[in-house]
Amino acid sequence: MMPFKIDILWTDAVFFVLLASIFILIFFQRKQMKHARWTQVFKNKVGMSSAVVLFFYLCIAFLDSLHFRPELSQRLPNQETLYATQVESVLDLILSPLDVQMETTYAAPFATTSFAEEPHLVQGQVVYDFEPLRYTAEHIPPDTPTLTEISHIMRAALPLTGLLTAVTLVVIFFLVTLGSPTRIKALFIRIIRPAPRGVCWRTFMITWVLMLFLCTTLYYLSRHYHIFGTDKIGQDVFYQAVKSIRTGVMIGTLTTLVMLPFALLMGTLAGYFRGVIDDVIQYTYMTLSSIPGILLIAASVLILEVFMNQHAQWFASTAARADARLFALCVILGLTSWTSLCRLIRAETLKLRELDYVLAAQALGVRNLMIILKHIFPNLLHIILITIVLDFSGLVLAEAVLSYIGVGVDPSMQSFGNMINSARLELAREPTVWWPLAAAFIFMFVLVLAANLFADTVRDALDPRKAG
Amino acid sequence: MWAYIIRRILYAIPILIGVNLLTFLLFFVVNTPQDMAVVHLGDRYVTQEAIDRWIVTNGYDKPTFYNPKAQGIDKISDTLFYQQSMRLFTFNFGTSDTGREIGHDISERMWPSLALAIPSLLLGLGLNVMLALLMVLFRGTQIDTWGVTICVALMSISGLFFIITGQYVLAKLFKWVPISGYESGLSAIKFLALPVLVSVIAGIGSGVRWYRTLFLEEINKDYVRTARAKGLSDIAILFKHVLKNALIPILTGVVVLIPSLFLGSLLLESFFAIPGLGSYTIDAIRAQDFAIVRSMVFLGSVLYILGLLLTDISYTLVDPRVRLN
Amino acid sequence: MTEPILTVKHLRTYLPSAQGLVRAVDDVSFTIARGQTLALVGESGSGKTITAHSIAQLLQEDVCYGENSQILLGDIDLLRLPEVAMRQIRGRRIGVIFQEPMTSLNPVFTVGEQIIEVLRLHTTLSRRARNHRAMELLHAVGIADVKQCMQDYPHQLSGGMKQRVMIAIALAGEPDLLIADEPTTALDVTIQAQVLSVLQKIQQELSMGILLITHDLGVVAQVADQVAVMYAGQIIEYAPSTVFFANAQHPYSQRLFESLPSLNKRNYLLDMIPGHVPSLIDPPPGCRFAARCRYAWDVCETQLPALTSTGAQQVRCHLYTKEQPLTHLPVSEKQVVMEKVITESHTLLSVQDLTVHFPIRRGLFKRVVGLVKAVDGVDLSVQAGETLALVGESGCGKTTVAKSLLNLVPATSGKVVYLDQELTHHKQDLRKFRSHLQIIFQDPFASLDPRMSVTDIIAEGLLAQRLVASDKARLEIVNRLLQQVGLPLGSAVRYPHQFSGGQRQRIAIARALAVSPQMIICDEPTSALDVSVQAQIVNLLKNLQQELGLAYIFISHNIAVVSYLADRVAVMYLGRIVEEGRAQQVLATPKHPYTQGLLQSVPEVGGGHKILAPVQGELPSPAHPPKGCHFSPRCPHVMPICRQSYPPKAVIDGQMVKCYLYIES
Repeated sequence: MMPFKIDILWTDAVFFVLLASIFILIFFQRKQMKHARWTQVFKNKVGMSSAVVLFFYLCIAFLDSLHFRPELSQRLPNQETLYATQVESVLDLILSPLDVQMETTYAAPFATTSFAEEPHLVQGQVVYDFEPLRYTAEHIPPDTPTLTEISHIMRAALPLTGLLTAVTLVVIFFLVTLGSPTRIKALFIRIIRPAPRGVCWRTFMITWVLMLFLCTTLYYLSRHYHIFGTDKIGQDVFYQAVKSIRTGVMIGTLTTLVMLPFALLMGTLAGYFRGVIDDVIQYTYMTLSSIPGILLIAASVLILEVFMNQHAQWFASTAARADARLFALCVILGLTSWTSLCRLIRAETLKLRELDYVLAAQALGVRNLMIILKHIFPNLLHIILITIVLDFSGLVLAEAVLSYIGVGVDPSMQSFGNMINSARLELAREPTVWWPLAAAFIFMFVLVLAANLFADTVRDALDPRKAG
Repeated sequence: MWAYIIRRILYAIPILIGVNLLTFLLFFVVNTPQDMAVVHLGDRYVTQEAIDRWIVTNGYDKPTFYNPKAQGIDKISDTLFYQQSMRLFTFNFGTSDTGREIGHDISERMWPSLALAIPSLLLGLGLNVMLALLMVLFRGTQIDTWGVTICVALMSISGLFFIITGQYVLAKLFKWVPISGYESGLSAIKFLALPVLVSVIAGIGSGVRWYRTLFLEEINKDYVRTARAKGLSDIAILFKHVLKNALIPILTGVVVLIPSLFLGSLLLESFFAIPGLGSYTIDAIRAQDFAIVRSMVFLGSVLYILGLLLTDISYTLVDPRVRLN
Repeated sequence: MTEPILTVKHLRTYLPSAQGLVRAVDDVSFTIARGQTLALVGESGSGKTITAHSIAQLLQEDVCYGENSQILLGDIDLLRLPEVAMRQIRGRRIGVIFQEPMTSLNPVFTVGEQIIEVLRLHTTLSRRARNHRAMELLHAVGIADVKQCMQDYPHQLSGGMKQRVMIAIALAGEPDLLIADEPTTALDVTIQAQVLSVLQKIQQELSMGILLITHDLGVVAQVADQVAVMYAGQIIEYAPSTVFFANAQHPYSQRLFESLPSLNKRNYLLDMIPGHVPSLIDPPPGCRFAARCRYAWDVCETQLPALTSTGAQQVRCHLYTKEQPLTHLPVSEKQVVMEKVITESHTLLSVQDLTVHFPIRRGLFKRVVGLVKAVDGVDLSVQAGETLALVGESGCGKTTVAKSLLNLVPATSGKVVYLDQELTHHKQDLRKFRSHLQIIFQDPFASLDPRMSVTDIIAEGLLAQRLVASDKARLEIVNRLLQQVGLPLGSAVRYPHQFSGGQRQRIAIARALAVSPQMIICDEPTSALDVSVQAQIVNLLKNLQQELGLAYIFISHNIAVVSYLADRVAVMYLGRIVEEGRAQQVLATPKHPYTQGLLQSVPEVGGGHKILAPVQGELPSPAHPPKGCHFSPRCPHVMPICRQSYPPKAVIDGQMVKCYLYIES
């Protein structure tokens, strides 16, 4: 009997399906990959390093998507195991005890005492004093200078960095070379002396090691300090920022994924068959796209809220509820944004269907369905891929705005939008509480920047016409 | 030409009906009036009577699409759909859940929205085109590379940060402008300066990059080679030949936005407490005032379709290839 | 000989690319004198356009030139001139005409503005004088309604008109040298003839030097005084035009001539040049043509021959560098005889009164206000095993005929009967007839799906027609077909982008053959290919016909290819067939004035300088065909009746012709 119960939320399931399909695709296409144009992305230094950064974000999101409910110590009278109502993820497990609220209110980054003087009773008298923080007090010997301690911790993190680097690189190199000694040798030559138009293995190595170092150091530091301080109710801000990653990544990936089948089907049908089908589909997306996106999203989310309130009994836990809302938000965002992709696909299909190789297939008597599957779809792939990566960063940014307006993810969910939303008034305080905003800014900026840079290289690789 | 415009307007009607139907389904069918009443009155301590009364006073008690009890044309018109949705076509928005006349609110609040949106658009457009031209002129050099890098970095920052930092630095630290608020007349300038600045800066990243791509696409066309063969200088080619061609997509891209400027900016207006339509919408969303949200959705679609129409007309004005066909 | 305007000495132009430095032009020297035309001839990739652009300094900034390279315009070395000074040369002393008139004009300025721009830049004329001068220029290039044209935007003009405007722009600065980069390649023969005659007339008036870049030996024969043949970045033969056409000496030049199709080679296979142009990134150390040359011996592989003078001409070949120049080249192996025998003959396909109309919609409710009559009553019949050529200018509807025969474009009316079975109205059973009738397209780059392997492409028809059950059998068929069209067996697993244009066309032919058709419609299958590759494809088609007894409908505007391949010829003009008959007859004694004009417009390699532009004007729009005979506005023999009604069929000596000249009134 396991001491926990696996809990797969809606977004988890879709996310896993997405990851699985990517792996399957890569596995089955590995022969053709050498010639595929998108591999150009990895021959570009910027593309390679942004891909590595995105990969780390994806890993965090993945760890945060492995949900379970721990077993409780109490049992039912009939000896049946009880599980907590609180859903936790593997990431929580790694970061614990950061997920528990520890301080009473604000604490600055790397502080050992509270941010404001706090009243407490000393011999019957109210005295205002800086309180030592509970969390740091547990882990840090008193009266050590912070910088010395930090460098101490960073040094302590090095062995783990080294170990992780060694293990991961061995695994990756094995996967790439499949253990063939000549290929391993070639790979090492590439790392030492990069070929002018080869895959940027050296850039990969550097970024990979740097990211690993960053992760382990932050992890070690978070064992001792509140790296980004704490918020008003004493929650660790670093923890919040890390937890927000999953929300951003989910919105960025699932939204496009949800709309993809619609857009693809509608776009190709309209473009290939034209006539009445085309009129109906064009009318549908004209109607949808003529409503300003943010208003349609707002209206839909409002309705969704009412709907979920009316059917509160459907959701087992608050996490399930928040997750259902996240998933619904992805669907809503997808519904409002499929129109542009659909339009693109329709236009491209119109062009493709007039091409000689499609005419040749028609002349050979190939059925329309087969023409769509064999000739149209494969030649639309680059548009779809470009759209997916281009939309990602926009959606992460949109989440923040929507949450600010009040139509984003559930307020109980950790997200960049919710973090900014609650942090913006803190700037007005004296003295200024800047760290929650800074944390959200840094984590989000790195994610979006990496996504933008990656998208640029993907677009350049797949669509040389639009280079620039 | 006129036949074309009239046809476009006729095309717009079924689309608006579609928009109307969609919002109606969203607001009245997914959730029943009963659900909405509960939202507004709270689900505790409320009697069925109070709910019924709320439904009747708001006119939500009629049949959805077809009223079998009514006579003649009223079979259609005396229904929830007709009463609530079709009247929007006459720009009769009805009253909000708090009992205010929506049409009146809109006509009052659109002016501050315009006062913010128009200068933002014009300044942003001018600055973006200038910067893009500069980068294209120095294409292939460090200036271009750094320009693109800065643009991508700017694009990666959420607009919220620009607003919050702008308010913090310029208003709170330097005290150059008020943090938020609005006054009509000339004194509006000091309230608008910061939001306009923020909106321009937030738009630079994507704007400059987009225009740069447009210019680069033009600069690789054959007619540029012809112009070079004539002996024109690079600057003359860029400012005369390339700019005139690229301005067509740029201008028509802006024209589609013009009508929607009335709607204002949700974010800026709410952060800077400007009493425009954007903050009106946000307040309505937060107060779950469905009547206002519905009106704004409809108004937004009308303005967008108007924008598309204006785009088509402006194409025929600026592009000889369209005009003379 | 007058003083030279342009002297190019040891020009080397290297272009950086992703794969390395491309030696696009490698030691090229020539001179052009005032009033002279030098034709730079070569196949695609030979470096002729780069040479031209080097002279006008129109290449990107990252190009490198050789150290001892010189381009002397008069006594100015253009390669050492700063860009600011170069601007005074471009447009003023060097005018340039480009290949694509469609895109070379700025779409948002009027024609007048674009000409006046040059005048403002390079002359001191007043505003009024500039306007006047611009009109003069337009008049000089043969534009009739000059005032209207000044106000027109480029998209309102036809291709020929645009190219005339381009010439006017290039002439505006009264240049000493005119560079014409494939000026007529994008135009129809009749328009090409008109444009070439304009160029010739103006050259005589202004006594400019012209550098003509072209791949068309016929055009060269017509207008050039001097010829320089380029191969792989080098000039391999440099001679006065008459000498060159009488006695080309370089093996490459000779084989180019031999690979040209013509009427009198009908019964032989064309000579083909095997192999392809070497890479210019890493060119071979010896003669660049050595690998493809039938005379090559070991010196050719190792030592680059110099350009050697052999009397009137210069040749870059070891055959001529020996002490004892060879007077006669070793005779090539005898041409293969291919006499065509049609054993049994029955009608395979007959088309009656086929029309394809596209509606034009206008107004408030998009009413149909007119019809583009792309195909307007076409009768055809094709016998088993024969080749019917459909000839005409672009826009005459010949491609639409092809597509509607296969129902790729629905026919508006008319009957297509294939072996007693009507195809037009049986959409359901059409699929099984698909295997009988196949098509090959013009553009070898658009006709193959880039994401399918060659095997998948060729087997597509087998799968669709369910002709073969097992994968193994299918692969066998694919391999057999690859062999049949002359592709290496390893091709099967590769993708289209790994093949050259000619090879792709072979794949397309294999795909069509896979379903064992009895008839193939070839829609300009060679017009995108170089002459030497064209010969390969034409030979292949001829061989396949012999082996398999195929019938072809061969659609082309290339009279030479048609005269080589066709058994019968049908000439189309504006949606209708105006003349039809046996190929030898129609091509030798054309009856219809249009056919006569068309054939005279074709520049002939052996023809020398001849009177050009026998057909005036341009093809009218098929939306508004002229009243009466469609050709009447352009016809030199027009009679009053021609403007009133369309002439009926007349049959003279077995030739069908629709013209009132042949109808006894």
